[in-house]
Amino acid sequence: MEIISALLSGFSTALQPVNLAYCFLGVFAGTLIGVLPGIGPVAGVAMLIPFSFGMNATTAMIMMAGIYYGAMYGGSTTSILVNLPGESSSVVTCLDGHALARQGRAGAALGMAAFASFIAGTLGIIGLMLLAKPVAALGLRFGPPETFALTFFALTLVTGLVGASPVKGIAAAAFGMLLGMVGLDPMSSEERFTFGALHLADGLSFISVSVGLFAVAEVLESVERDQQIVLYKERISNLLPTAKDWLASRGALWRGTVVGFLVGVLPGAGATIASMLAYALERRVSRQPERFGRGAIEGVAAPEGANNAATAGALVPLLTLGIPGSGTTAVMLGALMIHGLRPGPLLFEQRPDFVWSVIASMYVGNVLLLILNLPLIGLWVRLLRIRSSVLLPLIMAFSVTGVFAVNNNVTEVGVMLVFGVIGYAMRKGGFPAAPVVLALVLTPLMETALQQSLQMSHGSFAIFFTRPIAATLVVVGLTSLALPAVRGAAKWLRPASVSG
Amino acid sequence: MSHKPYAISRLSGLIVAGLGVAACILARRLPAQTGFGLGPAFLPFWTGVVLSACGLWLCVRGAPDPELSWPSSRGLTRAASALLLLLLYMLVFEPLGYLMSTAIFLVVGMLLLEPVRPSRVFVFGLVSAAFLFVLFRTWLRIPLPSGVLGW
Repeated sequence: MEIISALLSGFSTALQPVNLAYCFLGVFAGTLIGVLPGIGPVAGVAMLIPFSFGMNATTAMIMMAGIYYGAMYGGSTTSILVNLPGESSSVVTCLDGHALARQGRAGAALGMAAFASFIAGTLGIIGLMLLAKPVAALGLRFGPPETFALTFFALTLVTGLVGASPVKGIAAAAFGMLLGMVGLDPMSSEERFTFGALHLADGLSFISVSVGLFAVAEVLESVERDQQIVLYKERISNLLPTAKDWLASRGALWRGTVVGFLVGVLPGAGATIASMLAYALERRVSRQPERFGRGAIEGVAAPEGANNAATAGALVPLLTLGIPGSGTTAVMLGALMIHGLRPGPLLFEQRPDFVWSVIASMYVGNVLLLILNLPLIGLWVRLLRIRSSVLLPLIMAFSVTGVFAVNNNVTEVGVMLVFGVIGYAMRKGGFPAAPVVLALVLTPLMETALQQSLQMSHGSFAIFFTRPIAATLVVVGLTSLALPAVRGAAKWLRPASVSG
Repeated sequence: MSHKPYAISRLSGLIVAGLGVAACILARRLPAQTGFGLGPAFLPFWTGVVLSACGLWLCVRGAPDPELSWPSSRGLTRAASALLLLLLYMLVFEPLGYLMSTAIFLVVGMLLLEPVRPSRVFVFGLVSAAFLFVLFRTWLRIPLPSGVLGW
């Protein structure tokens, strides 16, 4: 009953005209970001943060969450129609979604993607509601050793799960950690890596770094490749999946939701991993796995459901423990801190109005997205006709304006460009960028927790192994780091003829 | 052709290892211990060690990724031109003001990417810059540079 009354009170705030308008703006911008290849939710949220400075924290978070889950809806459109994922979380949707489009069933695939997103997204919010309170209660028992262990766990997990090479993931996270150390040391206030530049004493702005690594790097790569999107010229009809489609996707929807939500809750794993795991699971449990990749409708339902459920799941560690689980939620954490909010276990007690308004707005946002993605699908398809020669300069003008607005300083734009070049080089070398942003945001929390823990233990690292929660997280984190090394060593020891 | 992914792996390994070593050297200049316990050198130093180890591993054992390839010289020139244009946009952002600098950036950027129908691009660039100006300055009330002409 307590949850129901809190939710109703949340709805009274979420349905206020201003919040409703920004929820719509958020999900609209999210769908746009999702549909258009070239800009993802991390850059999208980061670019729009400066524009939220005039809003209160609740309205700002309603808009940012809208962008995050809205991008998951939009990402499937290009995957299905032109075999080009709008987001990394929609990569697997290409396999069966585009195969269905080639068979003339683009409408059914788009419809199933939208319904799966809606159903799993809504169930994910229910999961968030039910899980948030107990996790926050657990979080209240967290001291510095547990906070350190959790941040360490998040970083180790993201390095192993993002990208093809775990070593490159670890290197990206370590690079992000070094960036997070730029500025004053949290305990001694000693300057680190500032090279005498006054601008760096406050540390690097995560907005400039994220927009550089994601938006500028993507634009530079698109300009270098000079690729035009292949247009989808067929007429799209029959957006409602048939009874047979629903029957085939019934189990996939449930499994996708559960897998997506649980993966989303894990710090370090996000919507991309969720969609891939859900697709793999569906193929494994299917009686006809050979249908996958050739236009199985459940191959659309499972990943599209999973990536939406994962966005709701990813808000659990962010709101209850103050630990972001993905690049996008890391950017959201930074934004909330700018708005004077410190997400964590106390947030539910001190600002229940904020938490429940955001949760209520997500129900509203999912309904808005269903409307935006079914009757208005033609609008998004037409958007794909915008030429990249128009789109890319507009994205850059938007990025420069947003980054300049961080503190009305053109130096931030310079920082963004530097990280744009770094992000471009990282793409060329196959290094993932998400661990960099996550580590940049987490390192100050991690280092403070580490130093406080060692003060508690008079310098002994045993403190991380004698407290059950901290020990579990550290051991699991170390194991996930060690596994690729063990696999690598095994490969090394294997005879050359076998390893090929 | 197969040597190229190896070269990318080794080059990226060298850069990563170099960054790691630099972090270690810079960290050694910081106090290792303070009155509070661990000094500001601890985490940067060990992060540098991890980064160096990753770099070395990539140099020695980095598996080639078939999806990676060197950009073509034409592609690289295009990317470098885009970067140069962004740099110029940044430099004139405050002196020329938001409206004028953004209009010039959009027109030049669009022509650089696809040099067709200059008159249409010119009008589209001006209208887009005016739209962004109204959106950010009037609606979102973001203080944007006015420049020499006052807008």
